Amino acid sequence: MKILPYIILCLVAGIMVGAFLGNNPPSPAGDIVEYYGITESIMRHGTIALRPEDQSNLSTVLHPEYFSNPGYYLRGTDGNRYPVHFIAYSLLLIPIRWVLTIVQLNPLLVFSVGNSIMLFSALAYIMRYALRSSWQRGVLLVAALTSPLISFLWWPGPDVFSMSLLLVALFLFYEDKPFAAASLTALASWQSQPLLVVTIGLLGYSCITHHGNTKTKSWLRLAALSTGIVAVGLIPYLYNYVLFGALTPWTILQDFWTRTYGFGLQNINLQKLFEQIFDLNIGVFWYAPILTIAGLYTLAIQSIQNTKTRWLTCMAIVALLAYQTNPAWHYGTAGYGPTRHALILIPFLIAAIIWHSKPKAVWMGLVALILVSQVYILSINNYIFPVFTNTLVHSPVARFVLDRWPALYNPTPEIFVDRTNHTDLDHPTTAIYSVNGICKKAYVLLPDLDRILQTCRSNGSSVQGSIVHPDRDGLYITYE
Amino acid sequence: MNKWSPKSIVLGLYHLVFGVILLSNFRFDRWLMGWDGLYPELNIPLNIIRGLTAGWQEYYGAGLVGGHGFAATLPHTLIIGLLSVVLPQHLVREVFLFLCYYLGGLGMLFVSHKFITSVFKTPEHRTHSYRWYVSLVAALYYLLNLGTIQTFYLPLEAFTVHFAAFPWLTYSLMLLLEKLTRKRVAVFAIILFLASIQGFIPAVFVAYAVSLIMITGTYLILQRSKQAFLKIITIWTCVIAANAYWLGPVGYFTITSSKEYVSAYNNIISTPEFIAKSMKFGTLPEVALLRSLSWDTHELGGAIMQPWITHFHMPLVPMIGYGFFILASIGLLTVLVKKRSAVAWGLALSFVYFFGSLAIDTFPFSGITHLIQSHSPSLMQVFRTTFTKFGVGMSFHYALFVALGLYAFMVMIKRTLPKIPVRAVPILASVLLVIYALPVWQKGLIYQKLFVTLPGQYVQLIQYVNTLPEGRIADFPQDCAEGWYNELWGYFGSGFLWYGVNKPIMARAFDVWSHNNENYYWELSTALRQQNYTAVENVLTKYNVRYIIYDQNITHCRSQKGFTSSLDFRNYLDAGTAFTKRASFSAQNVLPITIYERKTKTSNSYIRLTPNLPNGPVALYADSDPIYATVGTYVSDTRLSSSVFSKRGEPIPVSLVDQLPLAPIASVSAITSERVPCSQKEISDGSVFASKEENGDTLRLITTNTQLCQSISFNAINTSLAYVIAISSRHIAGEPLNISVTNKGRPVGLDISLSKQGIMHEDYYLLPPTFPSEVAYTVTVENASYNQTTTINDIGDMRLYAYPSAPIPDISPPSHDLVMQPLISYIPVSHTISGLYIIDLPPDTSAQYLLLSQSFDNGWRAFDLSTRRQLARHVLINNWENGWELPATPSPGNHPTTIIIFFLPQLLEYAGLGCFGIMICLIGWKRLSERDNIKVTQPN
Repeated sequence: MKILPYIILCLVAGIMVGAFLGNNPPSPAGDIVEYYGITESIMRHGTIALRPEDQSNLSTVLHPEYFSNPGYYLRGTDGNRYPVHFIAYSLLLIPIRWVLTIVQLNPLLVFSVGNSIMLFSALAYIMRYALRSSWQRGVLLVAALTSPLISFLWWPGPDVFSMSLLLVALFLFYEDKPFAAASLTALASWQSQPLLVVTIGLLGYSCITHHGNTKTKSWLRLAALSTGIVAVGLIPYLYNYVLFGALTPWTILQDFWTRTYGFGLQNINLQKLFEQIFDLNIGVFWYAPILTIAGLYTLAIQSIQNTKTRWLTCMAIVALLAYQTNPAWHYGTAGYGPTRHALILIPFLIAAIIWHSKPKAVWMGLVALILVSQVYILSINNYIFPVFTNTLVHSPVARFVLDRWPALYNPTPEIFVDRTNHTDLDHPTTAIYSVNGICKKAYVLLPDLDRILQTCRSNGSSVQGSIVHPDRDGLYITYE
Repeated sequence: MNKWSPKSIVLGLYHLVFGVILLSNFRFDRWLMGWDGLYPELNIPLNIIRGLTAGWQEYYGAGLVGGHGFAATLPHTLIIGLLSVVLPQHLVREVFLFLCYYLGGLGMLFVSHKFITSVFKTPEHRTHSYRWYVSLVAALYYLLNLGTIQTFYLPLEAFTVHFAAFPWLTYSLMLLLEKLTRKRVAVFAIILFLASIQGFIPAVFVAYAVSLIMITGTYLILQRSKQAFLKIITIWTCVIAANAYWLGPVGYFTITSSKEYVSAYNNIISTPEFIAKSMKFGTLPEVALLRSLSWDTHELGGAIMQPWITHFHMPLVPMIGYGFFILASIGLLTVLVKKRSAVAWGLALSFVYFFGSLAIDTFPFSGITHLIQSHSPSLMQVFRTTFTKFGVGMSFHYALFVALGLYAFMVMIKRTLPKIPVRAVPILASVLLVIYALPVWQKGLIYQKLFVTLPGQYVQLIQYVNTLPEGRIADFPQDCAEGWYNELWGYFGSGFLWYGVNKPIMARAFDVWSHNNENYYWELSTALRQQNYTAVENVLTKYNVRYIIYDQNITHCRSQKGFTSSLDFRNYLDAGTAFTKRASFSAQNVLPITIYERKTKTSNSYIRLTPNLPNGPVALYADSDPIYATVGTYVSDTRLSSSVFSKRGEPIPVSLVDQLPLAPIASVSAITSERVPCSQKEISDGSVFASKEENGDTLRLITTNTQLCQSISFNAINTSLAYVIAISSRHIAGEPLNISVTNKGRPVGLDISLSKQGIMHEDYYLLPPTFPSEVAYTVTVENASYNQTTTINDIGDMRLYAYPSAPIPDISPPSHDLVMQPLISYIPVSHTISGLYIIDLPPDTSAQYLLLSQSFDNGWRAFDLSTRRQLARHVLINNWENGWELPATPSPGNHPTTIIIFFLPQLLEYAGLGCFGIMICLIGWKRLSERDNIKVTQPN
């Protein structure tokens, strides 16, 4: 019976990869132009600079407008155009693309195949080296393979890469290997910079536990190791500095969000933390309700008694907050689904419940409940083939609430505006959510106020908002 | 030599810290007076009697029931009486408040130790000896957190007693739940009775009672035993019996008159602002620090909590506060994990309840608040300032869970890092608390402006007035509807004279409890502005006013020029045509305080007889009483139509506007208005926004967390005439527009909020005749936002219409009801206490009505002793007072008829006191009988 979880893992992996290979590649989405473009450039001329022949070749499979978007392929200090996204993920995809090319399959399948290999490899590693019982392995299979992470396998981006490394790291942490765990999160942070706080957290844990450990020979060794790991995590910054002359290219971009809010701690607030977990459109809870409840409960309860879990909880919270430093809030969902800014919570939840679950009736019931509920929830997002355009549509839960009790849903305006207007603009706009021509809720910028009041005539409206900067702040109007 | 126990050391340290705080803040040379407060030390016997007859508040203007737990002042008055024996009068209140402060902290020391012990039952990791030190941190936190500071900064006895009582009530509750003994029941009952002072603000008791329901309910659910049930029954019997004496009258008020409280003008005007400000401080960061709206309160242009605001600008200070909040959260989690103590679980639930009640702008509690706001205006009114009701409770729970969190933290450190000296943790926490509350050591516990020198003239005034025959007093000058006094000698608060004066005073502080008091003000202020002293006389006669106290030290609530029109009235008083000057008190720095007596005869005892009376209409609120002016005393008949105009904010109904003979005088567009400074302090940090935009022919005003005021003037008009002002506006978001009409800075009585209509519309308001020789009105429009919610309103034209005749046609009674004013006769009455009148009617009386000049209330009953029957027909007289139709047949044997008028709900207080007495007797009797049994059995 010990081998059964491995058999199931292989079976599921085979089915999924087979399904991906048997289907058309994902429609271009996210930052595909750079992640795919890097593989193109390296395979063509061994460098990451975008050359005209790369662009010409890429334009046959990707929309040419990608290359005129100022957010991609910034001009470096040497005058060449370089990708603003770090190259590690794309480097991992190169051998897969090479194989796909050899077997004459669509090279754009590289993302789904690559992501699958990363995730299943991570799960296999955890099952083999970090878990002791078949029960834990079984829970891992259920929790991970029915989680919203699955929706990101199809996504042409490095989220699965980062989350897989994080998942392995968390189990290594529980295995008393904090340095190994920190190293992996440092690697994961290459494609998702806020994860560096988890690296620092893990190293901090090592330092604190080192205090009472008389066997460790010297603090110097610890310091050197920690510095080395952090230095690994800082490689993308070095990459940016060398190529663009700035630690992060995002500050050069100067789109509306960056210009207005800037990157940094000033963007952090509790409402966003709430939204990362409970927002009707982007919150983790609505896409993995049982896992979220069980995981948060376990984290909260075990935090009191278990130092590692306490540390884990703190790291999860700090990491969630770290993602809020990004000035743009609504992007990065694979169809319906939790935002990329909240996805990080899932490995923490999985690690927490696996580490603390026991083969008892309550836990068995919970795991069964996770399985059943997730099968239904994933079906809404078309299982492993999510419709990416749904990221610009209100989720069924959000629609349910907006149709009936619009006053209850007042998210960060970007979420409401993008999903109501089905646009992804880089500045705030006015949006009206209506059902059969009847206004239910609107987000209104001051210049549009009269127009909306005219359009949505109603005596039963309530207008609420906080305008301090009239160029970007708006009001929610709710029509009862 | 014996080693000192941790308990002794901690007790010593606590007293040391308290002593330093006391020395830093106590003022020996001043009275502690101002804002809201109780001052029974001004006349202890009088206030004891008032406490015993609290069912009817005779001294509150026209008389009223009142929604405060007035009877609950009784224990307070008794304690103050005891303190008065040994202390100078001016120090009594201050000592009492510091006593509360001391007892609260001491109680926290014991209850937090008990709490830690109940959760960590077994000694863990050699840290159990630190429990007392952790308890000291909790006690210091309870003394020094912002919630406590704000409670004592502007102290009111109900809140400070709540602060002192909460730890002791919880401690004795924990003892009772641990083991039910008679001694413990007796202690609990006595603490409850002393703590019943908090019932002066019933909502505070409600907050405590709900918390108690949660604790006892959780205990019952988790224990599920017969013994647990018995404990809970005993506890609640004690709670009800100890508070029944004030709960009864308040319950009567709630059932019969709470709507009046909700619709009182002062509440209509101020409640939205209070709610908005409570919302502002209902966010997680604010609740974590326990900041409340006193943080945002200004007096004479300055923030009252300026020393604290400045202190909190240092980033370290709020960080310390948040650190303690995190500790409290850890404490909460510890309870959930330990699963050992049912009481702890109950307290954890209670923690969440208090937190949710304060965090009204934090999900998910904001949703609950929204629900309450939508469905229960009276509940919203009662809990409009959430901090005063829940702040102390939250502070208590924070302190309790800080203790637990800190102790859990120390246990955790001891486990994981055995080499770290954990004893340093309470020391570090204490040091941080000292830094956190640095202003406390610099006279920052109590608002320094509350320390005033009460001029001796006021004491002389009280003594003199108390020697005068019975009669109602009108205080002057009068021009502000707010019940707030600002005296030149430094006092700023809701008034104090009536704690010493043994006669009713028609003060504005009482208006919120009874529309009769408020109507008196509307009628009086309208007549005063018109300088129509015949009308003033009529108002005084109608409300049976005998004396006038004119205090020249009172400054106007809005403008320095506000009382200029009162100068004329003062001259009228001094002229001596209608008033006799009885006495005047003044000093070098104290302007005269003069007492006048009216020459028109009034009843000494509020009882009079009248023959047949005409009928007139009933008007809930009115600016004048044309019926009384025409025919004198009348029976108010609900069948007759009432006045539709008032200055309280209700616009003239649109259906009526068309029928009015309005002639246009002037029209001014809001676009031409000028921006003027607002009365309130305008905040100027980064969280505010104010903008005005011309939007076609309207002006759009937008504000966030600030006010924007625009002013429009109507010139070359005769203010001695009546007008109707039409204001076109549209409400879009946040608060509605506030409108204030003035003449040279003097209010004319129209201070209202426009209606919240989302479409452009016109509201019409009556401007009755005001100043006799002025030629302009200034209309100020205020677009106010009291928190981060933006307020947007559009304002269009303002039009002024001449309104030719003051009385409105359809409010006059039918002409056949108008008869000449009958003669009024006064008779000797025995009136020893409030709420009781014994009258001997002469046998030959031809009177048809017996009148009682106290506000009409169905609780008043008149009994004819000769027939042993109640006088059946109880009628409303003059739209405010009581009247009974006397039986037509004379008494048998031509003897005088004795009639007793009694305020029946007063019995509720006596029943409550009786309940408590019986309970104490039962406990004592059982103890005695137990002791007797022991004595009997001892010889063997």
